[in-house]
Amino acid sequence: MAIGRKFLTYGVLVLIALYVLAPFTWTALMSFKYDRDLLSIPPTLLPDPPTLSQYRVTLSGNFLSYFRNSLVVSTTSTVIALVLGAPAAYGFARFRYRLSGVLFGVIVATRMFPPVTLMIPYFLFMKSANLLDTPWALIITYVSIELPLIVWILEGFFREIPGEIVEAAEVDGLGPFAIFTRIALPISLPAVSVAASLSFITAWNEFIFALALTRSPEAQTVPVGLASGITSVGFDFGPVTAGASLYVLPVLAFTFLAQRGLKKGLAVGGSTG
Amino acid sequence: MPGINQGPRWGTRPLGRRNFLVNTGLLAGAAVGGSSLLAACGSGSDSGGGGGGGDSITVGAEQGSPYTDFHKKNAAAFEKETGIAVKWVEVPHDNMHERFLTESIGGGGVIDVFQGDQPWVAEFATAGYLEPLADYVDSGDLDDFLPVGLETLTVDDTLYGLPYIVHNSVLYYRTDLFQQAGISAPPTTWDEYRVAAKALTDASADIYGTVMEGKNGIEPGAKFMDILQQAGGRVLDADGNVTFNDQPALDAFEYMLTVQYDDKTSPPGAAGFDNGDTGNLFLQGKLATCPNWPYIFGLGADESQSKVVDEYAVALQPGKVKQCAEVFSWGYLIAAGSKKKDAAFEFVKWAASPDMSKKLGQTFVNPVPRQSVSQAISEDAGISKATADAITVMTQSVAQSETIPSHPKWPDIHNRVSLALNNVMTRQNSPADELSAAQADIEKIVAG
Amino acid sequence: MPRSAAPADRGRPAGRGRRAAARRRHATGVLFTLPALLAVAAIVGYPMVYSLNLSFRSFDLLRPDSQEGYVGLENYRELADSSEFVNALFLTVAFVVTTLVLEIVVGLAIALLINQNLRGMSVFRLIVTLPLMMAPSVAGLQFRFLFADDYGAIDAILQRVGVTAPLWFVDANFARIAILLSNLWLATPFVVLVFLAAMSNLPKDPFEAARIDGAGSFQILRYILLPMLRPALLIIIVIRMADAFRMFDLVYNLTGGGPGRSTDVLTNFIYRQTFVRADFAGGAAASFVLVVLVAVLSFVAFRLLRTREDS
Repeated sequence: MAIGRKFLTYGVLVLIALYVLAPFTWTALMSFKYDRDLLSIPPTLLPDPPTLSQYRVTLSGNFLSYFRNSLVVSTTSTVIALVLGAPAAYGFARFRYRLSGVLFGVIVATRMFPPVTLMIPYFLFMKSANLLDTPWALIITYVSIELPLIVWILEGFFREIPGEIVEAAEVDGLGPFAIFTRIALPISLPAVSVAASLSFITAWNEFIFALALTRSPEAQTVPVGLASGITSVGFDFGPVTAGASLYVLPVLAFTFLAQRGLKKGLAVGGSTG
Repeated sequence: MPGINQGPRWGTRPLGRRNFLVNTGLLAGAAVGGSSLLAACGSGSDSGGGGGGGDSITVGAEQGSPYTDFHKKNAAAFEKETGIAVKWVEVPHDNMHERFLTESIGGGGVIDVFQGDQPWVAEFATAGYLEPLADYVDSGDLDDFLPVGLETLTVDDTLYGLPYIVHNSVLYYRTDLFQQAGISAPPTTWDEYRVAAKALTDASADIYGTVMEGKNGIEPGAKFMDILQQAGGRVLDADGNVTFNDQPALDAFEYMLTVQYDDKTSPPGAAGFDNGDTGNLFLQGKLATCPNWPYIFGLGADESQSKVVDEYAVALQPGKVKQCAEVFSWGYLIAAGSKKKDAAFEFVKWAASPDMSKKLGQTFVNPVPRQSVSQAISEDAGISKATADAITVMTQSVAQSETIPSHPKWPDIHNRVSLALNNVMTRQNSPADELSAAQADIEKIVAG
Repeated sequence: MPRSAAPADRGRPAGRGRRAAARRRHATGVLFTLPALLAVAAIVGYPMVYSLNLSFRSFDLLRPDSQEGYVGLENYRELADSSEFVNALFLTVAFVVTTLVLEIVVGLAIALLINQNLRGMSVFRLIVTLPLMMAPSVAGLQFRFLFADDYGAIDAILQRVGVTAPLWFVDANFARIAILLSNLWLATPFVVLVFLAAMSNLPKDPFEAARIDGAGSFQILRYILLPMLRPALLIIIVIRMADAFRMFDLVYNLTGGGPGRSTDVLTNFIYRQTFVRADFAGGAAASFVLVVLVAVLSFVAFRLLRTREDS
């Protein structure tokens, strides 16, 4: 390859990398500034001097409550979705029955629906069940998003389990359920962890249901808490940028570490924008 | 102080506020303020629902509002006095209406007291989301309130709240820049204002003579109604007819567009600015004048947030037909869905009490709706001349202005006006076309 | 995702025993899948039906005593008459088309760059995929910090190099560009990864043959690579289209639909209609317009790309 073209390739890629990193970097830089630097016009590019005071304000405020809610809601909904979804994926993959193909298609197709359609009935249901502004409102709604995701990802994996292994187990006298729990699940553990991670991150990132169904820090999650830092009186740059940086770190770390495992489940869950 | 929301919460700069309270040097009960501050900054470890009386109420309030912070900081005294613990749920201004609405539609029960912004009081009262105060208030005490103040929280002859603020925007101006430009007095008419703004603008230094706040939001919509009122216009007339599409609104838009795009004396991005943006620009020294709310007066004295300490004063906003600005009130309201209405009223009463009114007026240099208190503040010997003058201007500004109509659909109407402002100021539509579209939309809203 | 016959079906005994075994297998399948099916019926199916029903009714939460009868297509007719809704519908379709084209072109270009056998490509691949799992709402805030007029980094940097910075949130077209750029940031990693995965499975021979025949790079791209990438393209279009139609978080946090209503996509309209105006029935009706739109367009995309593949 010509030197010039190689140079051009690297040049373009560096520009792209800068664009990709800019939002994280700028937010992180802001989070280390004092208020007077945050508010100054034009902005100072680097924190001078850097300070952790915004993090102190953030951590002593409602952020920990938002963070705890995000953790509780994402974990609980993922566990429920796995308990329901993993056997279903196994059933769809290995025990066909009349309509099973159609039913699988229906479950997967719900992935395509805009969540905003469910927001309205959920609000009214949660209202009559007195669940508005509780973590349960979000746990139930998040299961509805995560379940199709998990069924879709795991069905593919369970289908790839070699028939010989299953048959050998049947000869050993194991029933279908025992085969599922003692053989299929353990050998699919990497796939299950990918499905669980994607499910967790989907809940972790969810915004519109959290916005519609919760309204106090006792139930709100981080994305909604961060968005409420924008007010007409001012914009709490410090706490919002510090909170956003803290919140983004685990997701970034996961994306970083799971490069390989991700590819499998990618088509299903990996698209956010 | 019990409750989860205590402590330097999300969205405050506790240090800044503290300095600001101290710096104003006006806080009569400095000791009380200090100790409640310490309490507010203290641990949130003791769980909610405590307190001597065992009662606990939840107040829904505007996030980031200095008045909310003020009431939060002083609530310790209320808790001590009554044994009622206060929890806070805070929501940004633009989302307050929507949040309180979903709360009420959802049957309530979470929030006992709403921090009531006047625009949606009629809507909530009409829908039955608010508790009438007739059975709670002492009618003798009501006589102390400015009639216009009570009026703002009265719907169909029923009183729903006690106001703690009745105010409008005044013109902040930089005394030092005026002196440099050789302008001896603040402008009183639009024409004078345009001339002054041109003299004060130094675009190369990023300093502008005025600002035409134009974002699609509640606050910029309110500021636009100032200019509309100055031109002699109203969105609705006294009988509730839609009178938006008329000469005054055209004049207002033409004036704003001329200042923004011909005179270029307002920052280029002003059509995207919200109240907080223009306030901060003024405090950063980037604006020579700025129409804004009374609370900015106190912030301007706080060195951690302001670069214009001691270099500003306030005046009435300039006018076309008259010098005025849309009057808005704030008062605490009892949610109809509250299960602790008596405790909730104790809070409503406390926040509008003479003591708290006086403290608020002195802390923020804010006009207050209690006549006895207004007098006491302006006669206070400890007050500086600049502050006394400011309070006089702010009180006069309210006295010679009109307030928004009490209409159950006002929030939607207000949103439509804000949209019209933003559409015109971002030049997506001409004033004439936008006004006729807005007129039609508002008529549809009013028709129901 | 094509589904091949279940491997477990092979090698079963013949005759009646085989039928009995098949019945048992079916029953087992039902047992395994029933809990999830019931859950989906309860938390997806029922709410959808309820909401569809609501969209044909008159429903006023603000007046508890009001009639809640059926009004036929009245809610839908009101939408059709509302310039606000039509504007949102148009903007949404325009956004989806523009962003899909951009994502595919940029995504393919990046995938081609990274797919080269050069040093350090794994690092770029890692960096490019970092936004893959980012919350769109938080990305919206982060880009707001970047684009902001007074406080933003982009305008500050442009000003330092002497360029007059655009007013991202005042000019309608710049606001739309800001949304497209932020959405590109969020969506491209997915597109790149799908293309890279598809490229890694391609045979080498056709490319070498074409090169020997003297075909230029563009010809190879157009006549050899693109046809081979059609399955990947189908996945990208179907998934990304559904996601682009549902975009809300980014707009809510970046522009709020403004300036004016110039970035007011359907989801934003539905949220406002429902929770700001408390018109639940109107919101439900609008949300079903969105569902039908996504369903029809996904189907069309599926058919178009598949039949071309068959011919």
